[in-house]
Amino acid sequence: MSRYIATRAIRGANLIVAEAEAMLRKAIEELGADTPVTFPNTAYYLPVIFGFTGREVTKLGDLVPVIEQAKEILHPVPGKELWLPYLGQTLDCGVATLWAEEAIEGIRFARGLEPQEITWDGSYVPSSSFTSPDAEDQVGRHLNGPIDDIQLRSWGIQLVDGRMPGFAAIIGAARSNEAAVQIIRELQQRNILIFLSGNVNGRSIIHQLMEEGVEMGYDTYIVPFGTDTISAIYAAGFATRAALTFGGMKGGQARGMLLYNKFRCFAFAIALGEVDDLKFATAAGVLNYGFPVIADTVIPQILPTGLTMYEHVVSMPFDDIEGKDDAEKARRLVQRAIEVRGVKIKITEVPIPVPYGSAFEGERVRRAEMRVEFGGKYSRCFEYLTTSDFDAVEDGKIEIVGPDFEDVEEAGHMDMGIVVEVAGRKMQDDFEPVLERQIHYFVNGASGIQHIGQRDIAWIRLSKAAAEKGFNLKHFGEILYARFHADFGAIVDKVQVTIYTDPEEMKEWLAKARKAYDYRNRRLADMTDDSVEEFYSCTLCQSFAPNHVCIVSPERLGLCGAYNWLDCKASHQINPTGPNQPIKKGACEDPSYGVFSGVNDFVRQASHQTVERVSMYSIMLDPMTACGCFECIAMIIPEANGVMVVSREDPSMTPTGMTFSTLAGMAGGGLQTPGVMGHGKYYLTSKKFMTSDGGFKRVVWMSSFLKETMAEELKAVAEREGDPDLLDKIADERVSTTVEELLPFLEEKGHPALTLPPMF
Amino acid sequence: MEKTVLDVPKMYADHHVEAVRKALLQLDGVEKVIASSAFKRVVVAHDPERLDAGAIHKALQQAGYAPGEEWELPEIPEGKDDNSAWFQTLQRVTSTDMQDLEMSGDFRKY
Repeated sequence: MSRYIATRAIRGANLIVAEAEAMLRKAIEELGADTPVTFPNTAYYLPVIFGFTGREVTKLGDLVPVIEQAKEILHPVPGKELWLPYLGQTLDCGVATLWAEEAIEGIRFARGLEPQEITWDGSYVPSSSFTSPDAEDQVGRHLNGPIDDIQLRSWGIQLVDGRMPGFAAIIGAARSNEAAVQIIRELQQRNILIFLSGNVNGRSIIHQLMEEGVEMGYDTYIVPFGTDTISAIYAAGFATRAALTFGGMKGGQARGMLLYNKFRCFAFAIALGEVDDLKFATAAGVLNYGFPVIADTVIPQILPTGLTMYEHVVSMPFDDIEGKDDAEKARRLVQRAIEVRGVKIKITEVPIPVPYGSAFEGERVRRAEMRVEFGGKYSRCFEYLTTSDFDAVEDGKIEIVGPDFEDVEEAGHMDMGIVVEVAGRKMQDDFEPVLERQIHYFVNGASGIQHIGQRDIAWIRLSKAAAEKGFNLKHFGEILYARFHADFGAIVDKVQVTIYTDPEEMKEWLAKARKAYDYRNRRLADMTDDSVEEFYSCTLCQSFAPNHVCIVSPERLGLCGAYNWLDCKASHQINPTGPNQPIKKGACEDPSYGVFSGVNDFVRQASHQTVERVSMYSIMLDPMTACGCFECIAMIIPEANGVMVVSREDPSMTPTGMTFSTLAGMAGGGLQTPGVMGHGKYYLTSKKFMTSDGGFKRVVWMSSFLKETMAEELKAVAEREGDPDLLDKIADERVSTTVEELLPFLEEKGHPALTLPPMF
Repeated sequence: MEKTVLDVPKMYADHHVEAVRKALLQLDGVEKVIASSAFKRVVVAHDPERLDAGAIHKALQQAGYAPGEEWELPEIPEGKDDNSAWFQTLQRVTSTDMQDLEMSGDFRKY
């Protein structure tokens, strides 16, 4: 253990705890001990403190024992004469630092000082896409602050399936703006989530990115926490909540939480610029999680492994890095950081002139930045994937039929059709829609390209920046060719892409595509649980929720919404030993509840004997477990003789007295709780939705987000149920957030649930 | 232009750097401020005719960062390892824990 690091980290810890104590004392004097302390939209209180100690901090007064406990694990700064093995003391002090930092952020929230305001005149591109959107006049005026539970859960599936291999907490400021942008781009291309905080002489990497016009927000995987080191605590809070949300840990299970992070959460910190006492102390704190720290300045190193998988603290002075310019040096710095943490990266080389990676999927191209658009209001764009004979497909052929967009005026539009022809021995017609849906993600991965919609309502925008770098229509083909081979190589042997802009050819292919869409729609409608012999498992999330098993059937898609039965079938073909295994249904023990002997046998074994039975279509009897990535939670409201369905996007209070975040703690982590169920939002439209409990007519309350975004689909369900006005009879958060408000509404509207038999 | 260099021990982290810069940059006559939390030192470039070192000193003091002044640290009991709260909360083990082994097995798997 480096005595230098130990000395500075322990000193930093002592100082920040003293500062937190002084701040707390002053805040209690001025605001009162009962002043609420909350981070927005989280069920985990102050998550680091909760994860370590189990303390549920809700008001300033609750922080007093936290600071006392932090003081108890502080150690004296190492003496000049006596040399000791300092590792334990340093780690303890690191934990005390994290508690103190989180307490300070809690106090700042109580004072209304968080999230921090942006005080910099740069060309900041504001993002209004945070899960809890700002009011119109506040957009882009403040930094993100802590990540809320909603966003954490919506990233869940990406974290578990490897699309998002880890996160990087960047603290400080890069040597130059060029280096800052390059570091970010390198991480984005690897789909690594980026958290920003800290400053050097008042200048933060956040300012640097603002000056360079880099779009920050959840959609681009870049989350600016704040401009000081204290706000880096939100990164530790994110890691802690990952263990609590997906790992089924409870508050206070410190050891399990830390181990969980060491083995499952691939995170690291990069310290840019000078490292002060607090940065050393914070680094000591995150070392407990198994997260290494890489600095671009000269500091002592801690190279042995143990706490972390590889080295603990690595110094890589920026000036000593080989490279012709700052961008190349930055590239090497990121590569080293990834090596040190052992982050597993699955990267597909796509030969296009713009950066490529999942982190660019959420990027938007606004009209002012747009070179050309295909589809949308003024033109048509469609995409169609079809299986052809082996001989008819020339692998790697990319053809443009019609003009490219050079002659289209700036910010203009044109028609385009993307036709992908594939051939493969294992390819089946049923996989066509599965693969076709991937076009959205594949095209969106290119920086400067925005893709919305699918089929014949696709809408693609191309930015001026991408066009200036040489992006043209052929590159759409390059992307699709590379990605289909990389991701679906097991079922696709040959891929050919044709881009149609010629009006006559386009018309002809659009007619063919529409015929195919129609056929697929009818095929999907015919596909029911009764018409298939096998369901599929999805144990993808077992890397996070070890005992959870999803059973995916044609009429019940995965609770994350990302995998339906066909997706699982295709996934099984691609990876026969992977997380999607076919399950023979076996004997049907109860068709109404959806109890199948084969499913029970599989679940028992795959859940490590923690779940004995599963009812596919019931919320009351042996409901399916959930990992934590669910799109919706259904929960019984006994007084109303029905259930409410709350969506992940809805942060408001529900009639159960709990928000989505709090409910999620009951529904997730592989636990089977009768009366509570996580599910995908399209399960609401299924004929098998809670059939044993009365079906869709049991829904008495539903988040308005669902009502609005699924209006057409839900209307069709209401008609199918024989009550076309059913949706109007279902309350939402605008009507009631308590049972007392809910019941009169239901009675007034004559909701059918009130006359159904009791649920239990 | 004159440069005044001051040691500010209380400035041990970057949130102090922000506070110190804010306090100094609003003074008339200050051209540039370089504040380092690693060295706990501030270098102020200023016009001596409009602002003297005393005024800088005073501004820092008012902002709570008087040059030379240290933070008061909490009292830490010495030699308390085996009785500390940390040790009481979490049992320290010296043998391999099966849970660790299982989790590392998963790690290899994933």
